[in-house]
Amino acid sequence: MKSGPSLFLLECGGSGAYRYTSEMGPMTSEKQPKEESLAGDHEAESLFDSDLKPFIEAVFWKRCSDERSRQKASDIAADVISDCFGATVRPRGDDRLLNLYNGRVPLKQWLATAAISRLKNWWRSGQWRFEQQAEELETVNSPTDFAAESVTQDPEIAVLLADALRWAFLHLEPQKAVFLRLAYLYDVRRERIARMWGCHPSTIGREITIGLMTLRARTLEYLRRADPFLEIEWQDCLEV
Amino acid sequence: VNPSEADEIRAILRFIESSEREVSGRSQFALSTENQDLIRLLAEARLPADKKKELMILLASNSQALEMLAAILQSDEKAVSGDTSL
Repeated sequence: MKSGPSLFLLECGGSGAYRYTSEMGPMTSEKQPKEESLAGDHEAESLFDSDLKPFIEAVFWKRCSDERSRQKASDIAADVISDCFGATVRPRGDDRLLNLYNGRVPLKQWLATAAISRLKNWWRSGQWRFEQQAEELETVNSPTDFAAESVTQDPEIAVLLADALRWAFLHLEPQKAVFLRLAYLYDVRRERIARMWGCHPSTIGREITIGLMTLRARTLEYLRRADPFLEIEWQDCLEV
Repeated sequence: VNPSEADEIRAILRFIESSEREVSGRSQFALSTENQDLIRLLAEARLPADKKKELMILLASNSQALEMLAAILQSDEKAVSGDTSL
């Protein structure tokens, strides 16, 4: 990859992770392209178009079974790339998608996840169905069904869901986590747990119910934070 | 919680349990005699309230400790059900 007049350039490593290099040697932070691009490095910006956009389109190509979905996917890929630098107004006054990237996963995977989520939202929307009827197209496998299945079959999203569940359980109050495990993993009766804890069995039942509700809420909270575009329900976590 | 929900919750807890073991290898740490005694006291409902919170943190983060507690509670239940069946 050429370096040009700029001190920095994006490189795609064997792991698929983008990193910056300079004449002084490689820079390890995966957040570096984000920082430099947002700081107005035009070469870094153009690499989003030349490298990341084709990657997102290639990811889409595997998922789209009809021509209209492919066209929409191409539009979405372009939108995601331009949103990186502020095309869409985002919550809390932050108008640049790239500002949400935290460097935990490779940038291209993160952008692809955001893009796939937008495509799935379009498939699920009434707009897709309306256009489908207007053109009198018949498809055996509707992209809507495909989208519903692929939420849990997509390895990237599965990893995200697994992280979310672990995070949520780790942040559960220890007492609730212990009661949940005793009741569901070891099949210890609530009466016996209550006798151990010195309370009424209904108290244990309440603790378990609150624990479950907290587990659900925190899992979804993690997912919302990790990917604001991802539309995922608790049922999806269970399917994973 | 209906039976199918309970199965799903079990599946989630097993998944979390196995992935935590993979990540931290926490089950490799042996329990101290003191902690074993505290777990027995808890199972017998004889642990002071101020010690319960501390022990819960250990139980939530150490699968060996939780397994030991579960084994004691389960054996109690079997003993009770054995008595009533006579």
